[in-house]
Amino acid sequence: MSIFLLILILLNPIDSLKSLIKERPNLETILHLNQLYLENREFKKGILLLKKYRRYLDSKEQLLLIYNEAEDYLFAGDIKNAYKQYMEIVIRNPDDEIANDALERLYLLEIGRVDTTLLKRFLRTIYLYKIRKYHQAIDTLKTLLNSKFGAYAYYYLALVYNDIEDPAQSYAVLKEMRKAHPKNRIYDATILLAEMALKLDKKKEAKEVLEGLILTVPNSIYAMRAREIISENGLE
Amino acid sequence: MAQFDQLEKRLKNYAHREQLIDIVSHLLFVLTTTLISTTVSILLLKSPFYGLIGIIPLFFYRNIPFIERVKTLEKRINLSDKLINSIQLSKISLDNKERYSRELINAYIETVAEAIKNIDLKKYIDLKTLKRNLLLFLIAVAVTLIPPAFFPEYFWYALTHKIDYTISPGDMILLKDSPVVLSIKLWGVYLPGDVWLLIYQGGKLQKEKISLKDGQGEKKIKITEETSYQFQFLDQKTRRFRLKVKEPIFIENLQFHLHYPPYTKLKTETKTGRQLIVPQFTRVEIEGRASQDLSTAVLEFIDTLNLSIEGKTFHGSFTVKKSGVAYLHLKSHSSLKEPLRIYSIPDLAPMVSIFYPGYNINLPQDMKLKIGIRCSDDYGLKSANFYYTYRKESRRVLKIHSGAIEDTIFFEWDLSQLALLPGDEVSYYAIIGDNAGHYSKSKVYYVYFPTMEQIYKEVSKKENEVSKDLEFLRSLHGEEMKEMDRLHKKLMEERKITWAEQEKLKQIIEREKRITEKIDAWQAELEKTIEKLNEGIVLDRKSIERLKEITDILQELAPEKLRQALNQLKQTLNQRPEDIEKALQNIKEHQKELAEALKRTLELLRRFQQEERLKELAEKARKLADEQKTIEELLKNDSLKAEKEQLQVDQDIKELSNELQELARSQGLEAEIKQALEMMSEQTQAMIQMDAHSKKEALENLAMDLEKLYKKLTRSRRANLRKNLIAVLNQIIAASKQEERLLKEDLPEKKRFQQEILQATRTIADSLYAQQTKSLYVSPQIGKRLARAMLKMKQAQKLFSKRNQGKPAVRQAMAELNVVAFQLLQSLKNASAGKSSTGMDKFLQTLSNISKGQMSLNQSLMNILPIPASGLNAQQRAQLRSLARKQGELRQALESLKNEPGAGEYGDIIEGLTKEMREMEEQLYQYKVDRELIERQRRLITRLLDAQRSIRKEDYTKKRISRPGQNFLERTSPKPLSEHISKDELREMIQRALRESYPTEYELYIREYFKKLLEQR
Repeated sequence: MSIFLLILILLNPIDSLKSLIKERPNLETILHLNQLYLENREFKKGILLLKKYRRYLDSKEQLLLIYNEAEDYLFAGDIKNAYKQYMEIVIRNPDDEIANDALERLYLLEIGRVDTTLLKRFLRTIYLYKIRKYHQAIDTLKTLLNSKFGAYAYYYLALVYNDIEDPAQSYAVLKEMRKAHPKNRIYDATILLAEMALKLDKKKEAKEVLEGLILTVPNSIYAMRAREIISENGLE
Repeated sequence: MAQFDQLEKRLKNYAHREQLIDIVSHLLFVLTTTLISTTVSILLLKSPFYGLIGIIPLFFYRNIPFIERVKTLEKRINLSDKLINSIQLSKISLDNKERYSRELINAYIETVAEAIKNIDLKKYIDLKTLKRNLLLFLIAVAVTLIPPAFFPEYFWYALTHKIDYTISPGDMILLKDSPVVLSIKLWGVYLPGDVWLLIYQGGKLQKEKISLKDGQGEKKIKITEETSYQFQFLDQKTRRFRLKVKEPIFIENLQFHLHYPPYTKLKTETKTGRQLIVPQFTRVEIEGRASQDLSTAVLEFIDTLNLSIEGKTFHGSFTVKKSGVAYLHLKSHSSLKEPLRIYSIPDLAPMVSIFYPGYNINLPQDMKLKIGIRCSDDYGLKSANFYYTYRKESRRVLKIHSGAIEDTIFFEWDLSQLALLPGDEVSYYAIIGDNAGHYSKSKVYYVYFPTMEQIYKEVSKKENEVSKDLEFLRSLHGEEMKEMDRLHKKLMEERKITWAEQEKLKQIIEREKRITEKIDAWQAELEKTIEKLNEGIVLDRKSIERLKEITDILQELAPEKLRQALNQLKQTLNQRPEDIEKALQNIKEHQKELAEALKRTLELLRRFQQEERLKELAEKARKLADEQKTIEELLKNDSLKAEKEQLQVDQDIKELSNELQELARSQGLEAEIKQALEMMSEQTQAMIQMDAHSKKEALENLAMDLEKLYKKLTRSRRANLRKNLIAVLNQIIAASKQEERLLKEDLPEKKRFQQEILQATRTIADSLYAQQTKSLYVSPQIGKRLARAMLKMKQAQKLFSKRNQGKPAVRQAMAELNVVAFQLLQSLKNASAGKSSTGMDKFLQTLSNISKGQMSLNQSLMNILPIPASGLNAQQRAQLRSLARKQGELRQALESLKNEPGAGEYGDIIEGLTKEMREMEEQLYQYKVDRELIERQRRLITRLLDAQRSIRKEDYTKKRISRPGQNFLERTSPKPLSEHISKDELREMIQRALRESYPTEYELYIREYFKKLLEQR
């Protein structure tokens, strides 16, 4: 039976998942179907699906659905509703880990508030990354390197390279970022640079980067993280 | 028978003699009794005629019958009834029924006659009684002779009863309680030693013996009521005399028929009493009745008025012209002076006040002003007129309820017809007339058409005042905090609090309360100013927004919790030291918050003021540039006037330079701006030496530069704020993520890890506080939330070190951090959601400037009129060309508005206005200046203002902050009358008070009270 179902899903995944959800709604299947909708750029369907089945799930799972709904809005370009949904997550469940994810998105939206057109282009790269079209994402991000969001484009590009297990590229991008935007305040990028350096076994450089970060923002979370990495990797 | 006759004769003879002796004897007795009774009556000072009582025995004389005498004789001579029998037998008739023998009868009689024949009957006559009575008589005569012999005066008085006397005072009328001497004087042959005084008082008789000396005696008595008296001496009583108590005259009835003056429209009425409160010029008919018949009746009041009298009644009439005391003089046998208090209530002039708007006001947006006039009069209103002055005084007749005691008039005053220009003002007032022909004028109010400069000044003034006050409050609050801290420490050490310290605490509480009240008052004041600015025709949204921001800050400033803590402390002052300590601890927290809030507010205000000042200076430079332009034109025609004005402009330039320098020196100003300002100040100073044309250009450039600098300052500040807030947000999210790691990952040194997050969060908090002092959007609540997150982190740290169970606290810390991030996001959203994002702000501002420009143009056009009959001269034509150019510029500005983002649906309106402007522009170029053009100009201005108003209505909604309901305070004694109440207000209060229901007798007090108050003013 399960093999039959698997075959069905492989042949016509959306319809099969729909039937499955109809029969027995569960988080995993719903999110799977939503992901398929995302890949097909059927954002509205995804949103409707998440809204429809929210009531069948427990509160924790509901929260995940809301987050994904916000993501769907975001990738559909409906920034206003996405913003609203992320905010709802944060205020309703500030003690949940997902609130941090929502805040990251909100942070991004806040940065992009000054130029929504550019923001939408930027969001497209995140969408591509989300549907695992990494190369397309890389290409799009590259077009943004000289924009207002240049620094962030570099950082996200490095993240994508890291995700596709290409630390060298990631490292190179981040190094370039330091040259292009020396005064940027994306300290996560500095951390990532150190991590990539370590992956490439450039311990000395990693140490220098981290120590530089500690000096720049000594009493910050980033300094703390830097010290942690130094300690973990025996860079003292 | 002969025998018998003889016998009978002898017997009768005897009986006669016997009877005679009885009569004489009886008479003697009567004489005796009469003499005795007469003597007794004389001795008893009775009338001698009382002696006649002695004759009474006379009437007791009884004649003894013949038979009885015969019987007595028989007994004396022992004949045993023979004589009687003989007499009885002799009476028997011959033909008697018993047939007694005549002969026998005769025989018997003869025997008896024979028997007494030789008896001398005279010897048997009884003389004893006669002799006894004679003796008694002789004794009586002797007794009767004793009084005249021994007491001749008494005897003679007893005989005549004659004593003369005089009594004083006789009948008399006396005042109550007055003393009086009652005396008697006797003359006569015989005078008694004393007399009796009989006093009859209240139905009782009082008898008193008064000794006489030389025939005279007296007695002093006090008369309290009607009394009668008489004297009694010997057997005499004097006449009874009356002493009456003199009764004062009084008024039994007094009435006033009041005929009120016509203006009062009151009906005639009658009043009693001794007090009259009547309107001035009331005719009073006085009518009354006294308790006694009157001889005269006079009313003394201003003039003396003789009243008509008829017996006890009196009447007359007079007119009340002024207040005073009138005296009613009544005379009969006593007199009366009755005071009558008369209050002449003058007809007060009517009251009038323009209560709405009730203050000088800026011209409203729609150029229509609602006017509310309240007027009142004590006897009725008659007319109402509204006067306003703009260039010349005009009058408008208002409808009023004629005759009403009070009235409220509302009407809408359309000022658009006056073609006001910025800087103009219109004064207005109302005049109200009453029935009596009095008129009152209201306070004069003004409607201003403010210039932007005036508005800036007003806003700036408010900001400065707030700033100054807050600085003072901050220093005051700092002192209070120190003192409270000292007391707290002392309480903690000594565990007791003295009375003096308690009092000190009470003072601190009161002062702290006053601080919060002052902040509230400022908030209310600013809200009022905002409302006023919003109603004004000239709109400067930035100024309004700025004031709103300050109001919002102030609202945050006066924390409700501090008030509650102050109240709590006050309540615990009389409780245990532990409770006081607890309350002090609680209050310290809130005091600290207030101190920080004050510091933040002052910093914010300083930044606001810098921006505002820069804007103001830019405007000033622009104005100076315009003036310089005028001077440049004036130089061509009137060089003398131009030079004079140039001097003034140079002076202003110098001032501007100093002001720029001053602003550059202000604290916290960005270095770049500071440098620019200093440079501009130097350039401005140098301008004075330039020629007129260069000066004009330099001033225009300066104005432009300052405007740019202002924009740069505000933009850069906003951008910096945003940048910093985003950085803080980023760090908060990072910290939250680290907390998440603590939850998810099995980290080796959780305590140290938590410690490091805490350290980092502290740095974030510092940076957040720095932003709080720069923007209203970063609320202190965010800082509080962050502090709570740090507290949770500390807890987690402790728990990790003890039992490695800090995860719940970590989760809570994460939650707090995320809420902080949420709030920061909202702050960022608010900060960036400025009005400019919609474009409406700029759109409205431009439209407002166009309206002002059009008004100015209209004014210039009016100055050209009237056009001389000879036609326009060269100068006028030049002016018209210049005006046409200006009109063209305005049209272009309006056309360009169509492309603004805010224009949207108002495109049609702008289109219509542009068309109108174009036509007028053409008319001006063709020198077609006539009445029609002026009217078109006016209509255009109205349409421009209408457009502005309709857009503004949609864009702007008034915000009112709701406040929770508060418990009503218990009713306390009314406050003393405010010092600020004017005389007019007081008079109005009098009128209002007199119209309220109250017992009539209070009227006088109410009037007196207010009169005193009025006099004190």
